[in-house]
Amino acid sequence: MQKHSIKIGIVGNPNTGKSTLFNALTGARQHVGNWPGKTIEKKEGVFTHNNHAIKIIDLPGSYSLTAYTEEETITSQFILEERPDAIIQILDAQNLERNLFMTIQLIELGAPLVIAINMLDLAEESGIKIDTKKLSTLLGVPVVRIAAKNKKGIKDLLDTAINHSASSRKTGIKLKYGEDIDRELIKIKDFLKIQKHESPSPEWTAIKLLEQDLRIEQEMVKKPYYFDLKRESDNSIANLEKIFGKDINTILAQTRYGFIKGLAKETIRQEKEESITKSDKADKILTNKFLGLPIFMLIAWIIFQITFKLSKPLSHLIELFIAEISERLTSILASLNASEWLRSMVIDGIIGGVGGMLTFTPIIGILFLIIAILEDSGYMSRVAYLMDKFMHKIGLHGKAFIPMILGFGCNVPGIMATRTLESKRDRLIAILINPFMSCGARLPVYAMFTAAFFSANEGLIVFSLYGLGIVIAILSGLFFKKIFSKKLSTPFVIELPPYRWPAVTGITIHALSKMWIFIKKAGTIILAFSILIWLMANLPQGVEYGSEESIVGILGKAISPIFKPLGFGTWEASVALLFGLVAKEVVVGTFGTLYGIAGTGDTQSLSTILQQNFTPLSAYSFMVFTLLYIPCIATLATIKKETNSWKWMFFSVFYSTLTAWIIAFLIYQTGKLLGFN
Amino acid sequence: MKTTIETIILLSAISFTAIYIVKYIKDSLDCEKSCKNCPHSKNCGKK
Repeated sequence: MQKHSIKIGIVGNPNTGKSTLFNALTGARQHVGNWPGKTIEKKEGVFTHNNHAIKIIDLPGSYSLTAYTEEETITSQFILEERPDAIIQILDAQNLERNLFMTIQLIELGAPLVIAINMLDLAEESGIKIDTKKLSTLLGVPVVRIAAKNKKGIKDLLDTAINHSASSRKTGIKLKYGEDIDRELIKIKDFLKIQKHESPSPEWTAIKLLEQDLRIEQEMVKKPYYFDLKRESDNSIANLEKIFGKDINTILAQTRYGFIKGLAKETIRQEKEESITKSDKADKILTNKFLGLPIFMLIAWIIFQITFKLSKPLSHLIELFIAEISERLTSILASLNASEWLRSMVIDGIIGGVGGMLTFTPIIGILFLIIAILEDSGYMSRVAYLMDKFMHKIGLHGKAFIPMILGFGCNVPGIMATRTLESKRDRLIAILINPFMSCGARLPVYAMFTAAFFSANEGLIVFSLYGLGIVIAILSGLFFKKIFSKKLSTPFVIELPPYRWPAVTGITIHALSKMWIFIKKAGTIILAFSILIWLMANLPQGVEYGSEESIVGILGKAISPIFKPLGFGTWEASVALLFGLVAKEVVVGTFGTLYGIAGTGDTQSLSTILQQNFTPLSAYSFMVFTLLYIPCIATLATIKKETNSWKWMFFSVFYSTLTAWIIAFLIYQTGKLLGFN
Repeated sequence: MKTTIETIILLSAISFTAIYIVKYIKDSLDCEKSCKNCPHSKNCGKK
């Protein structure tokens, strides 16, 4: 029998293990990365514990509860408006002092707080000992030791949160800001009391008024006593700034940090003096000014080598399996005396389109498994750090590189991740350059062409395409910087979380989900498009299958002159690119279906047919065009939504297509001049 | 009989194609949905 339901929120600085804890509690499969800024919305999960129905909410990571960024606003709004029964704040044991700043604010906010100290093992490895019992006494809130990754201490944490939610003593100590500040806070609180202002925490409201917090200002402006209150708080601010000779935010922050310093002195013991951690040692090489980038490029090159080497035998097995299915279906249909068109639809249309796609499943799985390992280990944050210099050249900072890395998976979450950028101009640039990052959907196109033309150097060719995407993104950023404004972006320090061993379950789940999405896409949209293309290749009635006279042939022929200077002026290539607007994988499905038709009754593989229609140079030019041309419709819809403007969406269509055409043209024509074919 | 079955198969394939293409385009235009379809990141959700 269930007692009652409890709502618990998980908060904390970025990259402290909130999502890992959320997954451990709910069994969810949210991807966890060892870098800041992965979650910018709240995620909910429901489960039961000791007969309690628990609703848990994973809030975005933030450093404080001011209203500077969206993450901070979401967290404070949740606590104030949704009134959770308990708030679990995860603290990274290795960066306790920095994490405690938010703790102070949560206590001031009146949150029913339970502290979970995570990654104690790593801290202890670095010689950091934390007296959690003393910390709990000094803060006046429960403190629990956990290891979210290994699911240790989770039960204890839940029990504590449930007990705490039921207890009347929910808030912690009251931070003393000193006589002068406290006097001004009392003045404001008294004023609010007289006005009968309703607030879950008058202390918090008063402090936020002193801080001139944007959100509180917006809330107060609706009140009839706003102008009197504003005058009151402005007077208090002026008084304090006069007394301290500093601006109010510095005064308040210094007081909080003073308290934290004292707290840390009481509860944290550094056993090894200035010990150099394994992470420090690794960073000396991996983030070295001269070695960092070459090492990153080497790692990227190795990733593609491993991906193609490991996936080849698996892809071959799938190919054999599909060939077997195709053979069996052919004989079944023949024994049933099925019409020629039905045989063609099943074998050429469906098996050709969907089967061709499925052979690339291992490549997707292996590449994303390796990328997940790099994310989880903390190396991707170092990549953002290394790219900082280049990002500054385009007027952005390294933080903007994180959405770009996410774009390697899919441009949609990549574009959404730009929400972590404070400046509108930074966001717009980051959104417009994101589609140049080669998403997972383009990988099957590369795999199909490299298998046909560059089988000895598959990894290198794909590596060059990913690299080209980054270069074009950076050059475009430079161009946009010149158009928009030259002013520097808001300053930001990139965090370098310590390296850690990736959680095997997490990365496996991530790679499997990626493969499942790919298979699901093959069974739905690729299947649908394979049938559509097959139909269009058969109509109008009486035309030869897949001939230039068919609808698909007429359509392809109409647009193929545009691509002739790029080396791939065949109508089949044009149709593939046209349908690729829906989803880039459809390019592969289209070739599979169309060339399946061309090869009816023949044993020619897709690679052989591609070799008859492309040269290595035109194949590379085609891959470059696929990399850079119009983003898929999901990405376009996201650009429209995130920029809230049709103008920028159409600009992205125009800009990316023009860029793709120019770069593919330059590559093909220069290649020809240099004697390549 | 054979022709009837084959016609049903063809019509089913056409219906499936039409439904899935419309559904896919509709889903793609809903960025929250297409973002959530990608397990790579959790950066989806309402502003």
